[in-house]
Amino acid sequence: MNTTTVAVCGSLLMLFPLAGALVNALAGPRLPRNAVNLVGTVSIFAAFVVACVMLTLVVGAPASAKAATVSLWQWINLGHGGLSVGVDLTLDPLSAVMIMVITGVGFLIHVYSVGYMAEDRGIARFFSYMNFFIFSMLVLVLAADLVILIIGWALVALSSYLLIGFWYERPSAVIAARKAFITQVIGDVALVIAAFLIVLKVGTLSIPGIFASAGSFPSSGLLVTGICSLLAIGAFAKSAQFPLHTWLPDAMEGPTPVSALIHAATMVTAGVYLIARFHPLFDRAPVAQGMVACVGIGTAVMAGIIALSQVDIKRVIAYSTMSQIGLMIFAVGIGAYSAAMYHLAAHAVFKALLFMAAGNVIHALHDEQDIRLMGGLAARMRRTEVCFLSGTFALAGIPFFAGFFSKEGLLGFGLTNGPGAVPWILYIVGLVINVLTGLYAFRLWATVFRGEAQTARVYAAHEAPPMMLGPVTILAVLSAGLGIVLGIWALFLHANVLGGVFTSFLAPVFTTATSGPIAVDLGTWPAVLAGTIGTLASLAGAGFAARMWLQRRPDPSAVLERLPRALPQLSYNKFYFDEIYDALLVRPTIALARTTRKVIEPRAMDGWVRAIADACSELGGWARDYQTGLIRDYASYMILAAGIFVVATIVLVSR
Amino acid sequence: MNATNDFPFLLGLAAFLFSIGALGVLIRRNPIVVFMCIELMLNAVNIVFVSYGRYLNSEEGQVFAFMVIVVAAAEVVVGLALITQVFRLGRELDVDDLDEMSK
Amino acid sequence: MTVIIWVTGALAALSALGVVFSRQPLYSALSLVMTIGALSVIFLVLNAQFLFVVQLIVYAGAVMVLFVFIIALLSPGAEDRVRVDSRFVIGAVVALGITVAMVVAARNGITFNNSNVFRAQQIGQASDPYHAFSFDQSDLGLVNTAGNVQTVGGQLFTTFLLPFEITSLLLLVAAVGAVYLTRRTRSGDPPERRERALGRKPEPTLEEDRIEVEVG
Repeated sequence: MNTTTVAVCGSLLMLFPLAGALVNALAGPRLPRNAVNLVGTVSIFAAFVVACVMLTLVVGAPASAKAATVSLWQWINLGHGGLSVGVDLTLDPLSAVMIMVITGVGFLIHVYSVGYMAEDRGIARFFSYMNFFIFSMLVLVLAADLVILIIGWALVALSSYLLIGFWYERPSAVIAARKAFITQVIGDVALVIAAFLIVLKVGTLSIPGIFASAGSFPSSGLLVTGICSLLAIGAFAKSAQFPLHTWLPDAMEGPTPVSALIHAATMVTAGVYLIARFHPLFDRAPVAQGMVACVGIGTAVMAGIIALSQVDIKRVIAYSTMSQIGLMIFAVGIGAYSAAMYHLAAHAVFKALLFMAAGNVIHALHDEQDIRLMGGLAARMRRTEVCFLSGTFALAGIPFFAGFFSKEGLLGFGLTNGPGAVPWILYIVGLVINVLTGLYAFRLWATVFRGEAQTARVYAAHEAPPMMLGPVTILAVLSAGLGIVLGIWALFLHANVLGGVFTSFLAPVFTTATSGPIAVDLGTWPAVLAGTIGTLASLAGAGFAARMWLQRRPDPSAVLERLPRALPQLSYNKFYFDEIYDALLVRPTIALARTTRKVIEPRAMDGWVRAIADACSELGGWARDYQTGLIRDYASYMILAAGIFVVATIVLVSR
Repeated sequence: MNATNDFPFLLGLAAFLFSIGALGVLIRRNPIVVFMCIELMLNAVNIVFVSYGRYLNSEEGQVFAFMVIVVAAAEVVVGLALITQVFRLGRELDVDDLDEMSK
Repeated sequence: MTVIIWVTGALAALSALGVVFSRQPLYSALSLVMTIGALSVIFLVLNAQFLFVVQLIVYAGAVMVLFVFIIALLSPGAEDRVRVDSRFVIGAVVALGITVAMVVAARNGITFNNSNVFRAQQIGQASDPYHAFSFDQSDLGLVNTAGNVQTVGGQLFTTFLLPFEITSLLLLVAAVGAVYLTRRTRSGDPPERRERALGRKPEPTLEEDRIEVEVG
C-alpha cells in the first residue's frame, strides 16, 4: 500500500469527525437545527467514504503487504535510544474492519439520532459529542503507538462520560456517567502500567516495534503474563466484563443512539480489539489467555441469566451486549481472533439494530422503558417489529442470520482449538449461553411486541418517523442478508463454512512468527457437528421462549414458582454486584474519608500545617521589624553583608 | 618610580575611600550628601581599576574606569532630578522622611 | 613619584572625611571636589592621562557643578550632629574591617590559592613596562604608547564597542528620565500628583481636568 495514500486517508478519516465536532461545539448553538444535523451526519458520512476507500486499499493490496504503518509526525523523542513516540497510524485488515464498523454503523446511528433527538434542545452538543466519540474511536483503532492508543482509549471514555451524562439535569444520568468513567479509569490505569512494563522490557511503545521484539519475552514468563493481565484488565473495564461490568447497565441513562453507538456497537468492543491487536503478546501468555477466556465466558453466562429477568428494555439489551462481548472476549482468550472480530462486526450490526428499534419503541411510548407496561406493539409498529425480529434472530443465532455464522464459528473453534483439556467444558458452557441467548432474546421480543397491550399508552403509539426507521431498516436487511450472503459466499467459494471469508481476510494480521496463521480450517466435521449442536441449542432456547411467552405453555410465572427462590432473586438483582461493590468499596471509602476528615485531619494534619503557618507568620513578624522603610537601614544591611563578604573573601583567599 | 611599593598603598586608599563613603551613606540624612558619598565609593573603585590596569600592563582598567564615570554621571543626573522632585513635593530633604516603603 | 602618590592619597583621604562629616552640604561638596582633584593626580601618575582629564572635566567640572547648583537651588540647612546609632556602628565597623583587611591583603600580596595562580606582586615585579617611566620625563613617545586618548579610544571602539554603545544608550535614557522627572505637567502642582500616586484620590476625569485648566 502506498504510505502517502494511507497517511492522507487516515488523517482525513480522523479530521472529518473532529471538524464536525468542532463546528458543532463552537458554532452549533447559533446554527439552525438543520445545519447542525447536516454537519453532524455529513462529517461521519465523509469519514465512512474515506473508510471505504481504505478498505479497498487493504483488499486490493497483495497478501504479503496488507499492513501499512505511516508516521504522521514525531511527538516525543528522548533521543539516543530513549523513548520515542510518534503519531503513527496503522492500516491493516484488523483496523480496516474496525473503521468500517465505526463509521458505517456510526453513520446510520447519526442519521437515526436526527430523528430521535428531534425535540432535544442540546442537539448541537449531542452531535459534537457524538462526532468527537467517532474521532476518539478512530484514533484508538488506527493508533500504531501504544501512547496514541491509550489517548484514544481515554478519549472514548471521556466521550462516553459526556454522552451518558448528556441529560445532566437527571441525577441518575450524572451518577451513571461518573460510575462509567471511574470504572473505565481503573482499566486506563492498568493499561498505562502495562505500557510502563513494556517500555521497561523492550524500550519502545510503537506497536509494530513491540511485536517485533515479542520474541524477547520468554513464553509464559511472569512479565508477559503480567503485561497481558493488565491489558486484559483494561479490556475488561472498557468491554464491561466481570468484575468491572457494573457500569454498562447504568450507562443506559444516556440517549438511546448513544447506547446503540457506544455501549453496543463500538466502544465496548474496544477491549476485544485491544486483545486481538496484542495477540502476539497474548500468544506468549497462556495463563493470561486462560484468564481472559474464563472471565469472558463467565460474564457471558452471568449476563445472560441477568438479562432473563430485567424489565427495562434497554437494560435487557445491555445485558445481552455484555453477554455477547463476553463471548468475544472468550474467543480472543482461546485464540479465535478472527472469529471474535467477525462476531464483533456482526454484533455491531444487530445490536445497534436492536437498540435503535428499542429506541423507536421508547420514542413511540414517550420515554417508557418498562417492558411490563408494553406488549402488543406489533400491531401499531409493524416495521419496527420486523426489524427488531431480524435483530433478535441474529442475536439468538438462528441459522443464516448474521449472528449465526459468527457465534457458531466461534464455538466450533473453541471446540477444536480450545485450551488444554477443557474445550468440552467450555463448549458445554457455550451451549448454555446459546440457550440463554435464545431465551432472553425472544422473551424481549414477545413481551414488547406480542401479547396483550398492558397500558393505554400502547394504543396511542405510532410508527417511528422515516428518519429513524430508515437506518433501522438498513441494519435489519444487513443483519439478515449479510449473514446469508457471507454464508453462501463462504459455502461456494471457500471451503470454510463458518466465517471463512472473514478469517481469510484477517489472516495476515493474526499470524505469528512461530506458528503461522492462527486461523484454523473450520470445515472439518467436528466443527460442523459442533455448529449443528450449537444451532440446535439456540433454536431450543428460542423455541422454548416463544412457547413460554407467546402461548403461556408453560406459564412463565408457573416456571418461576418451580425454580428455587434464590435463582430469580439473583438474576433480578444482577447477582447483587452493585450492593457488593457498595458494601466492599464505596462504603469503606466513604467511611475512611469521613474518618480522615473528622479525626486525622484535625489531629494529625492541621497541627503541623498550622505550625508551619505560625512559624512563617512569626518569622515574618520578626523580619518585618527590619523592614523599616528607611533607605539608610536597607543600605546598612547591604553594606554589612558586603563587608562580611569582602573580609571573609580576603581572609580565606590570602590564607 | 617603583610602583610596587605604592600598590598596597593605593589599594588601601581605595578601601578607605570606599568604606568612608559607605559610612557616609549610612549616617548622613541629606540625600544630596548621600549621593556625594556614593560618588566617593565609585571613585574608590576607579582607583582600583586604574592601579590594576597599571600593574597588569593593560588599558582595560582605564576603559572600565571611564565606564564607571559615565554611569556615575548618569546616576547623578537621575538622582538629582529625583531630589528636586522630592523637594517640589514639599517634603523635607531627609532620607528618613522618605519611608513610603514601610507603609 | 611615590611622594606624590602618598601626599595626594593622604589629601584624598582627608577630604573624603570632610565629605562625610561636614554638617553643611556645601562644605561636603567642596571636599568632594578636593578628593576628586587629588584622585585625578593619582590617575596621572598611574599613566592614565585620559582619565585624568575626564576626571577633572566631567567630575570636578560638570558633576560637581551640578551638585553645587542643586545645593544652591534647594538650599538645604545644616544637618544635626551625627548620632552614634546602630547604623553608625555598623558603618564604622564595616569601614574599619574593609580597610584593614584590604591593607593587610595588599601588603601580603593578593593571591589566589588554586593552581591558576594570580599574584599581583609577581606580575608587577616581573614585567613592568613602565618601570622607567616617571612623571618628570616628558617623553611623549612613551606617553603615546599607553594611557592617552588614542590607546584608550582604540580599546573603546574595538574591544569594548558594545559596552560603550550601551553606555551611550544609558546616558540617553538618563537624560530622558531626568527631563521626564522634572517636567511641569498640566494637571496641577506636585503635591496633588503625589496624592494621586499614593492612590488617595481618584484620577480626575477629563472634564475635571479641563475645568482646572480653565480656572488656571
